[in-house]
Amino acid sequence: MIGFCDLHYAVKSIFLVVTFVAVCSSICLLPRVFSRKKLMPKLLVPLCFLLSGAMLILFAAQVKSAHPSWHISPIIESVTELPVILPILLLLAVITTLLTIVIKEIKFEKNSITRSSVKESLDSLNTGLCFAYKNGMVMLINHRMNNLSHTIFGRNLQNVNAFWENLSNGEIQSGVTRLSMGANPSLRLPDERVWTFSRKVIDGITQLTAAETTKLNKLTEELKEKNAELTVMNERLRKYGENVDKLTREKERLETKVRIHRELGQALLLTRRYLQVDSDNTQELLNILKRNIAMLRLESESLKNDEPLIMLMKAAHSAGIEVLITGQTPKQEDANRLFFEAATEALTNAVRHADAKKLCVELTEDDKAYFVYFTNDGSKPQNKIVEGGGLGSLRLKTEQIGGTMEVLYQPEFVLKITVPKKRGDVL
Amino acid sequence: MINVLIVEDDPMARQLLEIYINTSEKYNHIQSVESAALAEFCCRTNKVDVVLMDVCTAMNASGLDAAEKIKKSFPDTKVIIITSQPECSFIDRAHKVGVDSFWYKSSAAEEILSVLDRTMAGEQVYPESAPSLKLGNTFSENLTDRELEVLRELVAGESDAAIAEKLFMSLRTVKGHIQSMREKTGFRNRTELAVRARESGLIINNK
Repeated sequence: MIGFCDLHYAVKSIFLVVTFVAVCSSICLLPRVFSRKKLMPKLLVPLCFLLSGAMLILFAAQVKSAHPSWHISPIIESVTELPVILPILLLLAVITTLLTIVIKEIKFEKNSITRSSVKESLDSLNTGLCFAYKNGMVMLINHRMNNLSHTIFGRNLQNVNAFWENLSNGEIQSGVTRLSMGANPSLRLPDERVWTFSRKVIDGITQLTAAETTKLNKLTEELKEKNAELTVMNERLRKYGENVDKLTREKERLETKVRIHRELGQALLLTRRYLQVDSDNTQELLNILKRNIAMLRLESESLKNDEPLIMLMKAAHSAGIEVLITGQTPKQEDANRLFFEAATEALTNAVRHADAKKLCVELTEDDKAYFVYFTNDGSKPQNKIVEGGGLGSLRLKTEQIGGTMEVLYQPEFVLKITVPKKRGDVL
Repeated sequence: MINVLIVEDDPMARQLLEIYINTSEKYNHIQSVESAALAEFCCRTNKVDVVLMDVCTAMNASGLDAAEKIKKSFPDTKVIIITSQPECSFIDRAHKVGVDSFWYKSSAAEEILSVLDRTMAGEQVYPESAPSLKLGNTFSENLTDRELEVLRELVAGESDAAIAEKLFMSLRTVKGHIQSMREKTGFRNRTELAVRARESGLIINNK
């Protein structure tokens, strides 16, 4: 029988190379099989490693013994003289075992969820994802999140807590822009893509995610622009409504003038008829003439309305009540209207509940707001004022324009209203 | 003599009404005020038998709001609303707040005095229907109540979302009503619809 020592040098070399490959393969497989639960691969792979390793050492020593200075031990010599079929069969068995285990490993990798498959799937996500311990130390991170950290801060993500803080306040790379901060910070990267980050703590584990919101951001910006346009348009519409009010009044006045002319014409015709038929109903004729003259006077007069508080003073004066006003009326339209309404309410209440003869109106203002105080000289309220329809409605209107209303009853009745100045009105 | 209070912000219209009252034998003009906010006070301090009041008065005070207060505090005082505005909701609201009579300002002196006489005789004088107004290709009576509600908010300058929230409807429904009104009137967009509705006097807000 031919032993290994009788083989041709080239065949020996091939045998040794194949054995070496088997040794390397079994070394590579060792950590994998020991991470699995199955027992058989855990036994077979070390056995293959030992057998192939022993063969490599023995046969390599035999090949080396060809050198004159090398003295081979008798045990090695006797092994190499064994029929060559034995080591070949042994090597084939080792290779077959290893191949079987490799194929099973590949199948297992493909069909089972393993640590590496989880990592692999996370890395293939377009969303940035990172899990960390409470202290911020990274547990699992995918490529996208690491790339984002690199693009934003120029370094890998080491600590989630520090990363989260830096998203809002830290130094960022040039070309990166912060779009919005708060619960979900958004940043625009140099490639014009927008990423929104969010953080969530699940059972003590921090989950950090980054989603690409470029389209959403674009749509939101477009929506904001459209809303701004709409707000401007609605405001213009509101102002237009006010202008239409003025125009309507002018139109109404014109119609009144037309009506006066029409009635004057009718009155003249009636007068003529009365004179022609020599009617006895002189009282009716007198009334018509009186109306005629009054109308003619009306046309020649320049008619103008009083200022709001003068209107109030006149109405109060006709009822024997004096209204004392100090200070200037607000320039702000909503405050002016509200203060006038409050004044009429205060006047009505002063007459109704306090039998007052004097109403004091004190108007003041500072940089931020307009104030009005109403007091009267009537009987002082004994109990807390219960706000009925009038004061209740006034409070509602005050609050609708952002103001505040206070009703005091001790030591005397005081109605105090504050209306904040609008931005354009603040000095 | 029947005491009359006139509430009218337009000085010419106010004085014209004063002339009508002063030249009649039955009525006595006791006071005129520009703002409806002062009407209740005047009723409280004077013996007022009837109030002749406009809807839109000085300082944005509503004659209809004032009428409601007067009818609550002085149920015997008659209130006649006179307006030049064809606003579709005025008549309904006047009925609701207990206004005795409702008439239009453009009427001749005799007609207004006749409304006064009939009201004082206990009659409720109202126009048979709200005036029909042309709005684009349609007339005001062809718009539904809900459409008019949406139109009112539109004229006030509210966004579609705000209208939906205020009127308890979905955004889609609001858009549907606006689209329906645009189709009926033939107006190109919501702004034109709002502007024309306001110009025609069909919608007058805050009154």
